[in-house]
Amino acid sequence: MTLAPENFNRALDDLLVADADALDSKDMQRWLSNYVEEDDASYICLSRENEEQGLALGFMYDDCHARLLDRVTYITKIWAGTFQDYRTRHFVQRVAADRIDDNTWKARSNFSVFMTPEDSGVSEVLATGQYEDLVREGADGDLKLLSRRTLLDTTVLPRYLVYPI
Amino acid sequence: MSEQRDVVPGFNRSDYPLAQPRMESVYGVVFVTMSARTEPLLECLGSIVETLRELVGGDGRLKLLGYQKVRYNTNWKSYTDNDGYHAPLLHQAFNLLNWQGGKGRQFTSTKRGHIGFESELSVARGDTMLEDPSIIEFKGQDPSVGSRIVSLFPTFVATKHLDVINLRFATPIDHERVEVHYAYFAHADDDEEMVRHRLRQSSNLLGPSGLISMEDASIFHRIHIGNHTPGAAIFQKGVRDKEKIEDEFLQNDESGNLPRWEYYREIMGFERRAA
Repeated sequence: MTLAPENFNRALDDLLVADADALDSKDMQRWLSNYVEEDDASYICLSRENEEQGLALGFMYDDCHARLLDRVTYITKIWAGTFQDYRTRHFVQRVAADRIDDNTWKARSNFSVFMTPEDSGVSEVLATGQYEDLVREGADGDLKLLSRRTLLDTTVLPRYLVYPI
Repeated sequence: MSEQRDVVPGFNRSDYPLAQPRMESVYGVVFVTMSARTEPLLECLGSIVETLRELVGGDGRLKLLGYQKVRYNTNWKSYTDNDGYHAPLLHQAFNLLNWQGGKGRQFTSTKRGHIGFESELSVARGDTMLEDPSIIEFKGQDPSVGSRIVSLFPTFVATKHLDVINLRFATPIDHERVEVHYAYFAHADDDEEMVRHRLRQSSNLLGPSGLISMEDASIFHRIHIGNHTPGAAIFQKGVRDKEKIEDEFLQNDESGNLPRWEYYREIMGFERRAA
């Protein structure tokens, strides 16, 4: 079954919000479950400044499913207890989506992420930018991320990053 | 020169030029000074130039991979105290990945407070708990130049660890914030696979969201908070003679920070209190 565009938009919005909620809840298993279990599933976060200069370097460069698993391990095991934590709130808005083959869509959405460090309690913008996603449509019409490129308009981050944006 | 009106008598336009920077470069790293009194570059760097050469791939023929830019909530002096120097055993990632430190030395060159670290490479052994351990592989040729740090007064830090070549340009924003631009490089002779390896390792290991160093950033901030408590911070480990600033240190000695503070004290005109 393939989704009609209006149904796809609704399913995509559900996926975008599910991912934002997983990140804001710091539930890394739920974050991981939004990605397909394919070897080339990927999450890459880089500044638009690098991208526009043809530079591929990122803040996070998880270019295969094993790296996504390791991202979860970084946060839940390796880094646990070593940093001052902060809350995030993601606001995500779909701006464009196109089918590229029978079961894959290309989608672009805007995001802004607020953060509130536990120690200061002062909220500020952590980052803003766009997600460029490839989205897989499952047999029953469910959607998962195949790849996400998080392009940060925020050239200089106001803080070190623990969680994916 | 035409007569100048409405100015102080004797005004001469040539006494007010734009700033006159001087530039020199070594192994591809460009240095600029605004001061007419700065000594020639090689004299300013001293023997640390050799560490810098090894750090930038032996000849400085590098290719930019990109930047990570971030602000840290810390004073620039606590940043420089703690970015170049800290004991590797403090890194949780090293412990969990069974990563042991290699042999090494720490030294200063000239009286400008530069600090260099030279260490053999150590690679994680045994189970790493990572699904994709390729991220911490060493693909370079010579483990004896596996790890290098060059910290130049006042705020420049360059590091090479595994296959990451990283130059860090730090700028104080105010007394509570410092902005750091991490520039990462591949070598001009790298094949496509090596460039890709460096890109993955550089993006994931040593920066403000790196596997090993994310917690550094957190520690800079906590040390800055701690520095507001009464009393003075005192470097103890590695101090053998309270009257003397040495120029060779053991790898994990915090006394390696003293030459920089001594130079800072001198140029700021602060009196040294009796030990």
